[in-house]
Amino acid sequence: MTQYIIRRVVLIIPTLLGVSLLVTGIIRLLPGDAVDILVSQGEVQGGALIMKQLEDQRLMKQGIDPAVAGFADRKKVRDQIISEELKKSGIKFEEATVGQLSDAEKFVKYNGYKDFIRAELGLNKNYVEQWWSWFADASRGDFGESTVGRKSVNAELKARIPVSVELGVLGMLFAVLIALPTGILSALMQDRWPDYALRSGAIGMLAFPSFALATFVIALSSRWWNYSFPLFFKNLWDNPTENMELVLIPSVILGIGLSGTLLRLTRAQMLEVLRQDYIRTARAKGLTQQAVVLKHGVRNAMIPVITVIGLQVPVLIGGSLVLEQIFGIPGVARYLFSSISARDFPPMISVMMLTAFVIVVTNLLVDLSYAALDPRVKLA
Amino acid sequence: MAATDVALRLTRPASERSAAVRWGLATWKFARKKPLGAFGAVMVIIIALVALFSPVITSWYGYRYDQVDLANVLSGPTREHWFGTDENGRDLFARIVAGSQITALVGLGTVLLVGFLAMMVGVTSGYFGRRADFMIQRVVDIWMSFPGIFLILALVAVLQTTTSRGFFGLGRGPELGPNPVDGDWLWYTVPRTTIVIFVLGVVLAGGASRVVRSAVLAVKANPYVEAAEALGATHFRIVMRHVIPNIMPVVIILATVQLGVAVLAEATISFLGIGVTNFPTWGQMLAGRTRELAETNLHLPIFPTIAIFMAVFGFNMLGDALRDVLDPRLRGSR
Repeated sequence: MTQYIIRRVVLIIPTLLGVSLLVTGIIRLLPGDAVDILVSQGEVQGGALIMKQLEDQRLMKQGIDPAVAGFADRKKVRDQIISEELKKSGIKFEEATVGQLSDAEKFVKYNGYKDFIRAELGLNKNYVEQWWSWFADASRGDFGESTVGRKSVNAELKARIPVSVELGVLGMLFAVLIALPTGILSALMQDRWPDYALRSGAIGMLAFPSFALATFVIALSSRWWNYSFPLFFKNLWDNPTENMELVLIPSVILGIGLSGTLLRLTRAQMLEVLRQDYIRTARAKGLTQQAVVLKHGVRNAMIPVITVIGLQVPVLIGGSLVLEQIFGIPGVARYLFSSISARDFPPMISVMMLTAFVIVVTNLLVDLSYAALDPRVKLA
Repeated sequence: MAATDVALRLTRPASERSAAVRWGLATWKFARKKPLGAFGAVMVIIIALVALFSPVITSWYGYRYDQVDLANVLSGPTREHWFGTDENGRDLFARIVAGSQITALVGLGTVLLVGFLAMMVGVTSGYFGRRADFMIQRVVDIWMSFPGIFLILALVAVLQTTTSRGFFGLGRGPELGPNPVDGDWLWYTVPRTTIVIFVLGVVLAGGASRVVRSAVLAVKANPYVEAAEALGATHFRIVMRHVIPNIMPVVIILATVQLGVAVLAEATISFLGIGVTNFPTWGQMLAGRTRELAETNLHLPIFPTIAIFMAVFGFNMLGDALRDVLDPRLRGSR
């Protein structure tokens, strides 16, 4: 057992390394970065300066000191730069119209400006270097700064993690509170109408998108009770009532979304257990229905259910994104969403790694809890 | 005479019946035993038909999905606009019919891709076992450690970035293409739909490959595989003739279940404002100003929600019923 745990914990490290390399690769190897989003074609500032820098670079390469270069030299390199740009779109410098020339110059300035910002932000390094510069700091617990706005990712995460954890824990709690009693009831009433109703309801819950449910909750509560949800988020320890006012409903919706799977599993497990010989024995020795169901039935049926609760964590994380977005809850998932829109690399990879870590650890805990709860299971 | 003919044909022993009759009987038996599953199958067929004949339906109906009726902005369901209109005066029925094409394309494409990838990975891993299995399973570990929806969002967003060159020329939306003419619009969603299908397929295939692998392991333990090996059959022959046909039920069930998952995921990313953004989709119809306007215009969220719900509910029901019929061991799992 100890050996197994050690092996699994050691396996976490290469898994996370692989995830981080893959995420970096996905984000970095594909075109489009924060600078592309930041700089729109219209707003190239200091175009003349960029052009001068490009000219200087080229003059240096040709062995002419930019400080003493004459107007003719500058004109020559400038034409070189523009003719190279024109060649990309298959136009000869000699045959280019005035419009094409000025467009090419604009484009050179635009790209030069973007490269300038990339160099400032360290985005011009290659993919392994960027991964390493993030990883070296991250392994020491510093997740770096966001590209846009230069804010510390650590500070953001510190503020946002408790919010997401609150939403997630409440969501899971509601899921269990809904799923377990109804699942057990459904199994006890197998193939009678409450069973059919609950099962159809469960499959219905799986098919009802949470964003639609949230939309209806918001629309109907304002329609019927003239109620609107708070616009601003308050921390749980600052203002518990206002916090709950905003977080409670989303977590119920999250729980409903998760409960469908759990209910179906609880029912299946209960049916399986109730068919066992020891249940018949328990009945035969005259135990009450309550004792049979709760002591011998539920306890044994719960083992796989508990493990599946753990496996629902990724679904929970994904589901919380939509709800954080709709209700304006400043959680981790929303942070990731906004940084994806801005192609902001450090927060993106930090949040992804954080969630990957949570998923890997819960998977391990699930396997361990399985062994701990069911003495027949031996891990090796 | 026709009736007795049918009766005669039905009472004949199974071996004498033609293939069409056998299929018909099997379908009828399935519908009798699993009414909800049959309902799901009907839903799948309806969506496929609506998607296939979407241009015909819209032209018969009289409104195009992007046609603006300024006289009837935000009207409720009327005889003219069956599902009402949105804040821009566009007809909701036409938009839902048009959106079914994206649902069908993404659903079908994703399921095919998931099935293909999961079979490739799962069969390789399960059949060859040992070291290959261990290595592949560690990669699948990494694959499955990704928070699915985040990966989908990041990939779709990054792939869609329109740079000067575009990604394989795929990033180009209609805004960069030539001016589209009537009825040509769906063509311009192809790059984006392809991206969504690719991403959903790759993300969902990780978990699916595990299921396929376990099915392969079960099949491999059978004596007929050993017999084939003893007769000197090649690995390729054993996989093609013995393994793959025997895991097909599992793959079919998996595909049906993933169909619902894919449709829901597509709706979610459309709702979040990425994915197929240049064509009406069901998820997108719930986004934007719908939430603000829903208080007084409940028809805005109701009809797209019903569409999504019916599709996913139908797929799940069909998947459940197929699982019960094709593979009793898996009953109630998931």
